[in-house]
Amino acid sequence: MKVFDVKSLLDKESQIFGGKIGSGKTEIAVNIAIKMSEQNIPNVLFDMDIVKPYVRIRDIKDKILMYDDIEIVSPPDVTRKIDLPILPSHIISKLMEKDKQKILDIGGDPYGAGAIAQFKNLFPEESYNFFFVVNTRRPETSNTKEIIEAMTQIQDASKLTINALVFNTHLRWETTEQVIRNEYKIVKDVSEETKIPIYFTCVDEKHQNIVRDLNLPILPLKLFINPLPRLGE
Amino acid sequence: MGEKILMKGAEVIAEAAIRAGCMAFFGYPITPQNEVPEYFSRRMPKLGRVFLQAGSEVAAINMVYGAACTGTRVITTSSSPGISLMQEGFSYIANSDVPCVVVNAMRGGPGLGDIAPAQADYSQAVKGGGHGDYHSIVIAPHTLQEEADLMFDAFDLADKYRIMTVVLVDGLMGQMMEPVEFKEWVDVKKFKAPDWATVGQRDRDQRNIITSLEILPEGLEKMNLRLQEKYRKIEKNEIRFEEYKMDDAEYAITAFGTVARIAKTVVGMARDEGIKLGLIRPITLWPFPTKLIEKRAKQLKFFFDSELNAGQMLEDVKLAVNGRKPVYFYGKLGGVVPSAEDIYKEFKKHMEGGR
Repeated sequence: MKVFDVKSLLDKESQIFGGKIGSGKTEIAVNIAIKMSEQNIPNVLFDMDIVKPYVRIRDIKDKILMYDDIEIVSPPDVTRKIDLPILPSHIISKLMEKDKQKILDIGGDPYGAGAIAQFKNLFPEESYNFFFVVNTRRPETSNTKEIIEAMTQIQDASKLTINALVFNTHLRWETTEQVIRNEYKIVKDVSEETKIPIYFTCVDEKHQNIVRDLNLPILPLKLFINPLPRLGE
Repeated sequence: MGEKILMKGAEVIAEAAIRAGCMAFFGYPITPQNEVPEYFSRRMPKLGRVFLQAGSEVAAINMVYGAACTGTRVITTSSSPGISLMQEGFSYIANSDVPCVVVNAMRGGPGLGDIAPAQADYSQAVKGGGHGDYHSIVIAPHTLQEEADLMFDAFDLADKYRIMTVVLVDGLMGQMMEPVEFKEWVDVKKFKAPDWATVGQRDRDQRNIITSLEILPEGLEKMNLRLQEKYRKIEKNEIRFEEYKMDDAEYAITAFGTVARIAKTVVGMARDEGIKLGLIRPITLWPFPTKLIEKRAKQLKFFFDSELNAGQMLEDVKLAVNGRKPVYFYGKLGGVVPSAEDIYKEFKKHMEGGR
């Protein structure tokens, strides 16, 4: 079992996380920021989610800012409970800064990914990793065909190039070793067909053993996106 | 049953409705349930079914009314302000005896309010909301699996009683994600238009006419009595509830939907400290489990009602308890959701006779 080393990302200035709604982008972006913080790598976490109305980075800001070296660029607090497609007002100057790692959480689906297209010129081809996060137990990304279709749509909307995959299949507390083992093949096929590498897989840091058989680096996650506890917990 | 998938509450509503044989969606977008129409808009055309974004909620509910008159399984979904706009249509649907399903993902109010979760439309849903003496069946799930199952029941009940079923959830139940397994698809090919449906005269002597209009008071009274008879039948047959750790309970929380879910954690916290607390969770908010609460009043020291409103189901709990035992209340307003710790702390204040 090999833990994914965020230092391997540092040859690129920006780490962009896209995917379908509910694929796990926000959770992963936040955790990448934390992993960098743990290695004293200063980073800026961009909340560019213009799609979902609840549990965005701005909603869990206080918990993230407990970690050093993380700067959050998100819309003003007054917009916390407004469903408007607002981007932070100082986003362009922040995207132009080059002294810190940039981690971008963009909204789900093509509509959410479209929000980054206007900043295309700030992302030269070799300057970013654009991760497509996929959970094969989510509707509309359950097989190779659907996943590649979703990737194409999101890539087209973003006007950037997806160049990395994240295998994030899970069923929250009902995730089993078997589910992960069986579904890995789907994303592996996607990787082979598109020639886009799978960078890592994610797992709740409390249940790391369920991905032990996978021949992939592991990103253990601290879970923040959890509006209600499991029933009776 | 198929395999488990990870679903957002809003997607569960749409997918379960589709599998339950819903042939048409009419609606108008509003947060926090936009993922419902979005999901329908992608799925329905592929299945040869209807998705239509109406010009307003008023238009949408009248389209639902029209489709319901043909006996087709039809749905609209909205959130509080949008549901307010639909009330006239609800009332017409009630007096026309036509079946349909309405989902309200409640948000903070009154007025435009906010997009955070709330339960402040309880009274509007269970006491009518529109004009006239009418009821809709109102059901409130507290997990996404239950939501997936109850969507099927919502359509079955609507058809069985020719009535509107309201699935009353809040923003959180629409936005949260849980693993869900869906029931088998209902075979829509087996559906036949019911005798009363306005689908052409066919071999009948006369056309079917569906109307909520009756000019003479004596005639309208008859229509009303017929409705009341139907409501008594529903009250007799369709009350649903869950009792959680009530057998030996000395205290009971009454709560529905999201709060009931949090309350289960509260019950666990109390039990850990040796306090005999249970939960009474109405699943049908109308018809309301009045007799159950009346029965439980004998064994309990007090009831503790908790809701995301200023005390709406509280009135029904109090009517059922009818002064036999104290009924205390803890509510949060405007979209604020209490934690299990918040609720437990408030409960304990009453237990210790602090107030």
